[in-house]
Amino acid sequence: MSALALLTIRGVVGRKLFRGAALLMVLGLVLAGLAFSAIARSGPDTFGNVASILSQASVLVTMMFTFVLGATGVFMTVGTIHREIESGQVLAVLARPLRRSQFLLGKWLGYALLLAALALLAMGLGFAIFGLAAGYQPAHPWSAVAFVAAQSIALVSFALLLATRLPPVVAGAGAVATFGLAWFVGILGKFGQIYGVAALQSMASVTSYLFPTDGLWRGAAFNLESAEFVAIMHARGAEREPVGIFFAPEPQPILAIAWAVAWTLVVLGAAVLSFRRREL
Amino acid sequence: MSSAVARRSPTDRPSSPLLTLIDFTIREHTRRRTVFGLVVLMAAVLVVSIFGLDRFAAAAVDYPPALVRVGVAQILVPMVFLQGFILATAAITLAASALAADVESGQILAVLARPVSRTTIVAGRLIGLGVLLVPLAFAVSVIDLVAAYLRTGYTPPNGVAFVASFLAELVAVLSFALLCSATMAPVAAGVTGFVAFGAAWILGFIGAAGAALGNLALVHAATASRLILPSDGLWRHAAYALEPPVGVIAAAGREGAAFIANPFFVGDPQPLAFLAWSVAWLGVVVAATVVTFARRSL
Repeated sequence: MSALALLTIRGVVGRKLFRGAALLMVLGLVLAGLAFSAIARSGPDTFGNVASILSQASVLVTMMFTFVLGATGVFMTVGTIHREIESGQVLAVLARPLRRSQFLLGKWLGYALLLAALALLAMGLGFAIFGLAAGYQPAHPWSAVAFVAAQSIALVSFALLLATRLPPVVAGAGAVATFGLAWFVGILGKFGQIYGVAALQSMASVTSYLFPTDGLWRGAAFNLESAEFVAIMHARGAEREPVGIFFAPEPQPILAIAWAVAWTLVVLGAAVLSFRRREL
Repeated sequence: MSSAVARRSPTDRPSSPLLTLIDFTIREHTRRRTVFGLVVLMAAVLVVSIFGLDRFAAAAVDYPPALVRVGVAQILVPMVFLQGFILATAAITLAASALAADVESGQILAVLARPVSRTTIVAGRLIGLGVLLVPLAFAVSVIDLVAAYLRTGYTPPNGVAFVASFLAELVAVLSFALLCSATMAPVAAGVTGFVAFGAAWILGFIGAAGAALGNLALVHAATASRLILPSDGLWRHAAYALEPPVGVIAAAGREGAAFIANPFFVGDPQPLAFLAWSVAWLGVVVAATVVTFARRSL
């Protein structure tokens, strides 16, 4: 299983494409650093409270990054599994003393480690650039990275489950659509708070149990926000303002984190069961 | 690909190779339940979105009209963004393997042994995928407008521009992914498509921040990314067409830097020159796909 995970990682990292994508990521981060520097230089008279804007900008850039990381992770996972089944490569692999569950878990482990490493590298580099350019430091950088990595891993586990049964386009688009819907329902829940609509708040609450990626994202957002920013937002009652849509006022409860981990493991278990029973 | 084409009976075979390829592309994805799956997904997204609009409208009856209009627009824009993102995901996934998978498996050689040019194959794939996705996107965008009107009474200032830009964004992403498919392996094509699409979106946000701050370097970086891949500019044009006029936003008390910092708010329409460039860009990308695929060693 670990050999398969290693092969999966090597298969991606060894490509020229990976280096191209890494270069594009660094370029994007440098440009974001320039934006942070411009915000820092603009001063409070031009753009409100500078620390608040920097904090919120880092949350928004990270949110966009999670979309790209998640969609790319889903595409790689679904595409690889589908091609290996359709081309018959999986039969050659499974002819060896390797169970189907080990094959699937090996692939999952490879992609999970890769996504976690990408989250760590991109966000670590981003924090360094933002720190140099604007003096911005997130409140809890390691926790933020852990939440983003956990969100991507949860999404990829769900995509893997879909890929064991559905055609690749539907599995990929289905995973991204569910992920996006969870995010959108989270926004609707915030609207529920802002405009006092209980039904939207309830829908967001239920969705956070069914598909916990948005909760993980909000956990990351809270850890990116500076304590000063959180205090300012609480003082002005920002939970009830439109700007509060992307504001995470409190950390994720331990129970919610535990549920997200358990959910990922259950989905992964379902993927293994589904893969064991399907015809190859 | 060739076996499926050969299985068609002579009586229902379209008259030209191009029509045959378009027909094959549509049938291939219909048979694989791709179309059905995408319709179900979009229907689910629409149900949740319309429920959100409906609940908002029910709760906002006592709010001032300007605030309701701004609130509806604030729900509509991320909702439409999500729909566009899902359709772009489907377009990239479908287009990334449209040419590259046939090259990788060698099936393309069996097709090219017949009197079918490479240009016809590129055109057949592009039009076939467009026929699958564009009507779906059109239906979704029209349902968005109709649902917003029926549930909340909101009519965006320029519904036609919204629908046109929404479809143009999809066609741009589809064409770009097909260009990647003509030059790379399937996984490389898909990852390049996703990263480029995502990078354009992030750079668009950075450019908007740059414009608000008067930082020309950031504005130029965003402009350059829009010239390379206009998907974000087209999305911004679609979002702008959905938003109420500035006066309504001000009347609702939602103006100011904090509101503008929202990545789902677009303060200005895209210039006409950009829209013209997007059309020209499409021609350039399709031509580049044809030329690259024609010269590719198979």
